[in-house]
Amino acid sequence: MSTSDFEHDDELRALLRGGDPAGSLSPADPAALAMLLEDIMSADLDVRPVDEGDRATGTRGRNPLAWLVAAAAVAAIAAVGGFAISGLGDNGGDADSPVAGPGPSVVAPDHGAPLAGQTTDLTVGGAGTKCVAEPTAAMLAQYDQAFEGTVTSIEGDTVTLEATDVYQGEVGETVQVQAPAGPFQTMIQQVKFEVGGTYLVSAWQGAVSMCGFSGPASGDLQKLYTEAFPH
Amino acid sequence: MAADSPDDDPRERFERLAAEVVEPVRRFLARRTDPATADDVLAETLLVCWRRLDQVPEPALPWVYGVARNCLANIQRGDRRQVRLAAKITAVDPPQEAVHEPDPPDPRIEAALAALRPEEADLLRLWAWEQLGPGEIAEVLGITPNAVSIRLHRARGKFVEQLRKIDDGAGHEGVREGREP
Repeated sequence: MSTSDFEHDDELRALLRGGDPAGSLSPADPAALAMLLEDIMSADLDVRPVDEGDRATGTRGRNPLAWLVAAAAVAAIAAVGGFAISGLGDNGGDADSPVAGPGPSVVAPDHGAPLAGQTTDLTVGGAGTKCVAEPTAAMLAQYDQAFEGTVTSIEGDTVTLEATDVYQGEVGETVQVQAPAGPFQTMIQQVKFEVGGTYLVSAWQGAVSMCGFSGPASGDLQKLYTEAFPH
Repeated sequence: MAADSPDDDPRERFERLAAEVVEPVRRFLARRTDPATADDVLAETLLVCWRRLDQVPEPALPWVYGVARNCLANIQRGDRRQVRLAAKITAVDPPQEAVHEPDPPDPRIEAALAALRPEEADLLRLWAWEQLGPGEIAEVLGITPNAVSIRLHRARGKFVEQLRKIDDGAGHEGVREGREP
């Protein structure tokens, strides 16, 4: 085709399309795509408390590689940063946090002091919450509350902490983590809460995250928090 | 993407959205990056769609292109450590299209686009390859349709000029070669 004269845009558009590198791209493998979609919807449970019974149906057989893809996607999105993760409408009403407010902020972590005289109430993610891959700083950075605190009491179904350092979000001086018996025991065991101990705790939508994101303030977890919340 | 009803299952809505946008977004990415990065960015883009499902407008595609474009830009200037995990998986289990050799695109087009400013080349790609109108391009780029029209007009002119230079250059080379003893 001559390039000497383009009277019509259509002609130029057609010429440009001759340079389209995706001109012969064949469609995606439907099975692989279905797995990717399922993993996106399921893996997201890791950073959101389970709030729907039917989410459990998303746990059909899945190979470890697929999990890794999903985990990478979750981690990658945390690194994107340009997208504040606004709360979806279906995030569930079981995760109310009086201090956290409706929308998590992942863009501008504020590292500072707890709110004097205030109490933050947290709960624990449901039994259906699944863990994907190893915790990474990029994933941790997505949580809307993260703090360091010392356990002052464990009574009944409540762990009370005194927050000493806030990495992300708004956290009161006193933090009470309450949960039904089952999840509560799981949390005590996984996070290894003991009175007098100092812990790094992160929460999403008012629910304490486990999966390696909360635990005693030392070693690798301390490094993870420092990396996730550099400010 | 507007919900058909307030009770509409988000999973179904997401799957419908994905069915609508996955192939166009795969082509969008194949035009702009390597296959491994394209896979990563597709997964990221879909994750953003899932998380922001209630904010996806109708029609969804220009908005989703904008998401993919931002994800790609962030990956290209940021740390690739995490996403390389997925890239390795691509190598283990290559997607079907990886085994096909695409028809080679006209190299003059690539050369002429490369000679333009990146923003101008981007406009022309969105116009000719994604086949978007000025209003849709405006949504992808976050600028006004009027600005798109003006810049597109200018970019088309420069592209034609570059193409002419390339053709002329090829002609001159031929003449010179002919004159060699």
